[in-house]
Amino acid sequence: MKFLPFAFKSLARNPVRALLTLLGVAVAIFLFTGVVSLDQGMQRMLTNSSGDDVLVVFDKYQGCPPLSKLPTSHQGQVADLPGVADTMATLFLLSSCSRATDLVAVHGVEPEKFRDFRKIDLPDDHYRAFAQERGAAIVGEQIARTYGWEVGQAVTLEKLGGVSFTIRGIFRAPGSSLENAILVDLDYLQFATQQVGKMTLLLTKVSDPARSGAVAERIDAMLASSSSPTKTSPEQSFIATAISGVTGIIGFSRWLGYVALGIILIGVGNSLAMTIRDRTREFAILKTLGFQRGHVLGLVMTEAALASLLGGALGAGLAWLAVNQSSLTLSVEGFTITPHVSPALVLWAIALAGVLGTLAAVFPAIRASRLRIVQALREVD
Amino acid sequence: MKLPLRYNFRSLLRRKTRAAMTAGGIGLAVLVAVLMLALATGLTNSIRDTGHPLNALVTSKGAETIEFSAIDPAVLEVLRFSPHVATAEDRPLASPEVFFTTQAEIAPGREPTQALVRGVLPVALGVHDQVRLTSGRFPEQPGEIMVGPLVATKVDVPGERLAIGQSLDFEGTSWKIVGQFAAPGTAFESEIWGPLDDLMVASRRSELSSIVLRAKNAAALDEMLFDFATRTDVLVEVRPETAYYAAYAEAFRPVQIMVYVMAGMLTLGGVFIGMNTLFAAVMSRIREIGVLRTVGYHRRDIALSFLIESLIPALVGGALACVIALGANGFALRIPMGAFRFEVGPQLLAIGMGLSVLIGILGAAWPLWRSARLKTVDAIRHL
Amino acid sequence: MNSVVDIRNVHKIYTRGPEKLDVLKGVTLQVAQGEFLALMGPSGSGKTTLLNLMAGIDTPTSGDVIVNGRDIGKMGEDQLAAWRTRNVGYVFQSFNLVPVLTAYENVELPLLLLPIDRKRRHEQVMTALEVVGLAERKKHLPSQLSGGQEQRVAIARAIATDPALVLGDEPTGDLDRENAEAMMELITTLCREFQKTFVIVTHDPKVAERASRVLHMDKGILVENQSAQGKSTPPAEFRP
Repeated sequence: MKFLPFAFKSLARNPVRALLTLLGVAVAIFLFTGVVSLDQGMQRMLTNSSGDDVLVVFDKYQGCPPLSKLPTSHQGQVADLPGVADTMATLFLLSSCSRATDLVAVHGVEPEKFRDFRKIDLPDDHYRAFAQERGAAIVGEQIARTYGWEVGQAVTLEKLGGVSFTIRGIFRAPGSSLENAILVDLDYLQFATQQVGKMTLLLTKVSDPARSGAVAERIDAMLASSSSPTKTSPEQSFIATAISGVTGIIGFSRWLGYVALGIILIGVGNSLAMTIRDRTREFAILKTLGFQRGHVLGLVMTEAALASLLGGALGAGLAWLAVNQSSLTLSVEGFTITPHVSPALVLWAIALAGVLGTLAAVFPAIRASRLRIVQALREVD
Repeated sequence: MKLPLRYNFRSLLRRKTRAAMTAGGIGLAVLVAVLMLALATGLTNSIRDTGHPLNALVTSKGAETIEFSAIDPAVLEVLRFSPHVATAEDRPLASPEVFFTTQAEIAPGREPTQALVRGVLPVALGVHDQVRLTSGRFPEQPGEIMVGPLVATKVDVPGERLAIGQSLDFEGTSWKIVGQFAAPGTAFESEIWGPLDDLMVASRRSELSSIVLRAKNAAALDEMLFDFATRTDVLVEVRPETAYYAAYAEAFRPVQIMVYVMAGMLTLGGVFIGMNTLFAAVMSRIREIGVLRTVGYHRRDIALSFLIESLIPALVGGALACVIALGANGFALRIPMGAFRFEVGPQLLAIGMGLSVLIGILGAAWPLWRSARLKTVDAIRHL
Repeated sequence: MNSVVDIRNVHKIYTRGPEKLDVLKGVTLQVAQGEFLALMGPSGSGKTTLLNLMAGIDTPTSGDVIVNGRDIGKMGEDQLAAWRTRNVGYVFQSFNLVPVLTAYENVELPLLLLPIDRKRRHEQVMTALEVVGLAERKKHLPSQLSGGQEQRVAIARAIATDPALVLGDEPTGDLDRENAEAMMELITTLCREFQKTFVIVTHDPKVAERASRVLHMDKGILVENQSAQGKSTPPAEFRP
C-alpha cells in the first residue's frame, strides 16, 4: 500500500500507455457490465414482481397468458379453501406474447385488493381516483416514459382493439414487470374486451407459506373436472417458466461477457510486459538499493491493479449511466425484463477488473522480480 | 514500399510474446464482434423469407398478431373462392390455420417448455411452398405431427428426441411425430405442424387464427387485399404476408442496434490494444527512425512501414478469430419467438477481416502521427 | 578549387518554447574534395549542428549551405531526403545499424531508395563490404558483430551509394584504441584512394592527428586552427 504513490507516479511516467491500458479495461468492463445487467434485470424482476406467499392459478394447458381464460367462478371456490388467505383475479391484455421489445400490457385487477398483493409507489389520492372511477388507469413509469403519457391523459390503444382509459396516476415499482404495465379495473376490462366472467389468472395468498405446495395441489384437484382445469404454482416459478424463452439469449450474452473479460487479461498483461521491459534498468537499480523480490513484485502488481481499477471504474460507471438511462427492455409472455445496473454490480465489476488486472500482471511481475542485477544493468535493448 | 517487409516481420518476431498477445487481444475482440453479428444476422435471416410475396394473410379484425386472432371458419368458405386466389389442381390455395403456444411435456421430472404449434391442412404446403418434407410424411391422421429442424432447440431437447416415431405431449394429449420438414429462412422451422381439426379440438378452439391465401400474381394480390379489406359480408384484417413478418422483424431492431454498438466497442477495445503495442514499438525505435531518415527515407516511407507492422498482428488475430467463429456456424439458440441459427458465412468473415484491418489502421493512427512529428535531429540524438 | 562543402555566414537559432538558443553565430567555411576535416570543440559549441547542416538533416536559420553545388538550405524535406541518399553518408557514434537487419541488409538500405536493379545493388553492397573488409560477415546481425565491426558496417553503409561527402559524429567515441585506429586507417584510405571528403566531429586528439585539417568551434563560431598540437601542416598522406 505504501507503494501507491510510487505506483501512481510510475504509471504517469508513460501517460499514453497508462491511458490506453485503462481504456482497454474500461471497454471490456463496460461490455461485461452491460451483459450482466440483463441477467440482473431478470433476477430483479423475479424478486420484485412476486411474493413468496403467493400462488398463481392458471389454465392447465395454456402457455401465453391471454389465452388462459378461467371462469371467475373459480375465484369463489378457491377463496373458500382452507389455507387460502386472499385471492385476486387478473385479466391480461397483451399486444403480443413473443415479440420481445415493444410489448404493451394491460392488467385488469381488483383495485380494493391490488395493494395487498403488490407494492407500488403511488400517492394515495391518485390511487383512490383509480379505484373509484370507471375507465381510470394507473400506468407504470416505464411505459409512461416510452409513450410520453401524462396524468389526466386519455389514451386509446389501437394495437389492443381500441381499448381506452384515462390515466389517473403514474406509479413506480422499480425492477418489477409492472413498471411496463397499464392497470385498469377488472370489470371495466372484461366489459371492454367482451370477456365478462373471464379472468387470465388468480393470485392466491396462502396463510402459511410452508404449506403452499399442499394448497396448490388442493386447488388443482378441486378444479380438475371443471370446464377449465387449472395448474397452480408459486408465483416465482410461474414467472420463471413464463420467461424461460429468454434464458437462451441471456445465457449466451453472459458467455460473451466472460469472453470480454479475456480482453482485460491480454490487454493489461501485454501492457505490463512492455513496461517491465522498459524499466529493466530501473528495477535493477531498485534492487541495488535493497528492494527485495517481493517488493518489486508488489510494485508491479500495484501498478497493474491501479490501472485496472481505474479502467474498471470508468467502464462500470459508463455502463451504469448507459444501461439505466436506456429504455431497452425485453418482454416475453407479458413480463418485462429491464436491464439494470445496481451499485453492487458496479462495485463487483470494478473489483473483477482489479483482480483480473493483477492476475495478468503475475507472470511479467515474477519475471521482473527475478532479474539479476548485473545482467539487468548491462541489458541494452 | 521502400522499406523491406522483412524489417517489420523481424521486428515483430523480436518480441514474440508481445506480438502474440497483441494478435490474441485483437483476435478476441474480433471474435466476439463477429459472434454478435452472427447472432444479429441469424435472427433476421431466421424469419426473412417467411412471408411469400404473393401471399395474403387474413386475421380477425383488430388482431395485431395471429396469436390473438380468432376467425369464424365460415369466413374461409367466402374468401377461398375469390377469383384472385391461385389454384392448384382445381383447388384454391387457401390455407386455414390455427397457431398457438403451448407447454410441451418433454421429459418426466422436467418442467414443460414452450412450443409453437400450427394446425394446418395439406394445402398449407402449397401456400407456404418454402416448406419441404425432408423425411416421413405429412400428418393427416389425428394425433400426428411433423416438426421443423429448430423445434428441438425451441423445446430444449436433443435432436434425436424428436425423431420420427417419437412422441411429444402437449394440450393433454400425446402426439406422434410422423414427419420432419425444412423451411430455411422462415419462422416455420421452429414450429410443430399438425392436422387442423385435431389441433382445434385439442386446444379447445372453434375459430381459426389465420387464413393464408396465394394470389395468382402481384396484380391479383393487390386486388385481393383491397377486396377483402373493403368487403361488407365478412369483416377481417388482411395484409401481405411479407408485411406481417416484416413487422415481426421490427422487433429485432433494438437487438440489432445493440449488437452493432457492442461490435463497435469491441473494435475500439482492439484498437487500444494494438495502439498500445505500436506505440511501444515506435518509442523504442526513435533512434532507428532517425538513422533511417538520415539515410534518406521519407517520413511517409517509415510511417507506411509502421502501419504494416500494426496490420500484421491485427490480420493474424482476425484470421484466427474468423476460423474459430466458423465453428459457431449453425449453432442454434432459442428465443421467445422460436429459435434461430447463428450464421457465419463468407460475408460475415469478410466483415471480420475488415474489422481487423480497421483495428490495424486505427491502432496505428496516433503512433504514426507522433513518429511523423519527430524531428530528425532530435531522433538521432535519442538514447 | 573543388569545394564539396561551401558554408556562408550560417546562423542557426533553436527555439524551445520561449527560449531562443543561438547555436551557430555566423559560420563560414569551405571543404575541398578529398579533405579529411576534423571539427573539435567543447560541448554545446555547435559542431554537431554544423555537421547536421552539411548532412541536410537540418536547415540554417540564415546563410547558405552549398554542398556539391546545391544550396541545400533552401530545399524542402522530401527533396532533402532524396538528396541525402545520393550525396551524403553519415556515421554515428553508436546505434548506427538496424538491429533486426543483417550487415548486408543494413548496407543495402540506402540503395533501396535508388532506381537500380537488384544485380547492381548487390554489386554495390558487396563492394562496400569488401572495402571495409567485412564481406564474410554479411549475414551477421549487429548483435553478432563486435563494436568495431559494427562501425565498419556503418561506414560501408555510408559509402554504399558512393556519395561525395561522408560525415561522422564521434564515430570512434565508443571504440577502444585498436578499433579506433583501424577505423581511422579506413577513413584515410577512403579519402586518399577514393577521393571521398570526410568531415568528422570528434573529441579525440588521435583522430585529429590523422586529419588533413582541424577546425575548432566555440560558442557557435569557428576558431581557426587552434588545436593543442597547433597543427598547421597536414600529415604526409595529404600533402600533394
